[in-house]
Amino acid sequence: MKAVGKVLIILGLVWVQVGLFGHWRPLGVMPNLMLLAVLFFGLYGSATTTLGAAVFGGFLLDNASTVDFGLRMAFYSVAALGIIASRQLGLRVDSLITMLLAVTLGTILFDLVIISTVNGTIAGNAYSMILSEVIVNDSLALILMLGRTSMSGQQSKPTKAAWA
Amino acid sequence: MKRRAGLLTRPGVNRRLFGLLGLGLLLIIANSLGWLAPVRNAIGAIGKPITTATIRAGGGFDNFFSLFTPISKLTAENQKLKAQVAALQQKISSDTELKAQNEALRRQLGAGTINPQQLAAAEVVGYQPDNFRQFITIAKGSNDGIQVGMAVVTSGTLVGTVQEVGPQTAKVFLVIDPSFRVAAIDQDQPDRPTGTIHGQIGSGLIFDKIAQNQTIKPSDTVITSGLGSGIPKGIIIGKVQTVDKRENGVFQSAQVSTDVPFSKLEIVYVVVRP
Repeated sequence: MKAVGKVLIILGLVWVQVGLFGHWRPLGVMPNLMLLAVLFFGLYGSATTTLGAAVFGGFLLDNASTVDFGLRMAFYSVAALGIIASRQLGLRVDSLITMLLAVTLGTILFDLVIISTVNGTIAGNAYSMILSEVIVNDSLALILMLGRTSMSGQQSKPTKAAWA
Repeated sequence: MKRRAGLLTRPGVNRRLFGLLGLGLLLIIANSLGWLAPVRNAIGAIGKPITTATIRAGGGFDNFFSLFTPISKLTAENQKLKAQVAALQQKISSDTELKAQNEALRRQLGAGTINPQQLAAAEVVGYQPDNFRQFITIAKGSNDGIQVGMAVVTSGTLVGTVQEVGPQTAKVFLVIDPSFRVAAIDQDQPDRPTGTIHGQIGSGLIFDKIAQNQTIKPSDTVITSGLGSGIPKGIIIGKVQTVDKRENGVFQSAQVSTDVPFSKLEIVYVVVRP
């Protein structure tokens, strides 16, 4: 996929997140599309694409946010570096289970980071919101992975060429 | 055996990765120095029509899924609304006389209230991109006379205050954000209990810092007091649901519910200062 296509995907995801999912929230929560994109690029794209998506997508979401500028950019960059390092260490990171685990862990960590920046009280159902978001994000990741598998016919293996 | 090149031993890839990380750091520094404001305003202006379209698509999704609401739920809701209409009709008749008296007194005292000429309608063009902070972006900015600190309402109920203003867009800090604070009064009690309203992560509003010796009851209406902020006095915030009064506590608090559908806002009104 060309760079322009990737940029358009990131822009589209940001607009859908702050527009459509701001208004229509499955299970009452807003999914974290950018986290899914970063992890997906991390599994199937190059290291540069993954970190580029993290910085560019994080910047756009930070721009849409009123507080904590840089928080999303930093978080997605760490997530991107984490998945790059996992591939570097030779772990098989492109399996469905790994993706779901990464999405679950990423969602929980992201929510806890956001909550830690809030100066205020936390209602009991904040944790059920995190759980709902994990379910929604994992469902989207599942759809994404199954869609990719059915399109390509088989799961890809990490290749050295992908690092360029 | 040939060893796979490590992250730190591939100069081409590393240069790009460190370059991207450096770019991110530069953006954060530039923003803290205020240099990014024109870029952020331009991005907001470019994205405005697209996010507006996606918000409308979200409204379409809502309407589609509301078709599956059970009839029993609709019947119960209908009965509840009929009861509310009857109560409101009764209230209107008693309020008409009070309104005339109030207007006469206001004229004598020179006190103001919100009138329709002070309200600037603004379309919601974006939401905060996470589940725990509560902001919206509106399609009115400094070019339309919007200023930081102005109150934002819908259907006569407080939505929040303007936090950040660009030429064409502004960001509104919603009353349900845990960091939001506004002074409030229980208008239904004779001793007019005062306190602070703030949101909480998860749901609802808390009416806090109410003195123990004051009386507050469920279904009381809570309004803004006009103290300590640019928010005019008398804007409805919500209704008291439950009261939490502890024997040894310094203050009592109450859960307050609001009728504003914060995740489904399309048009809000900014209270423009005269």
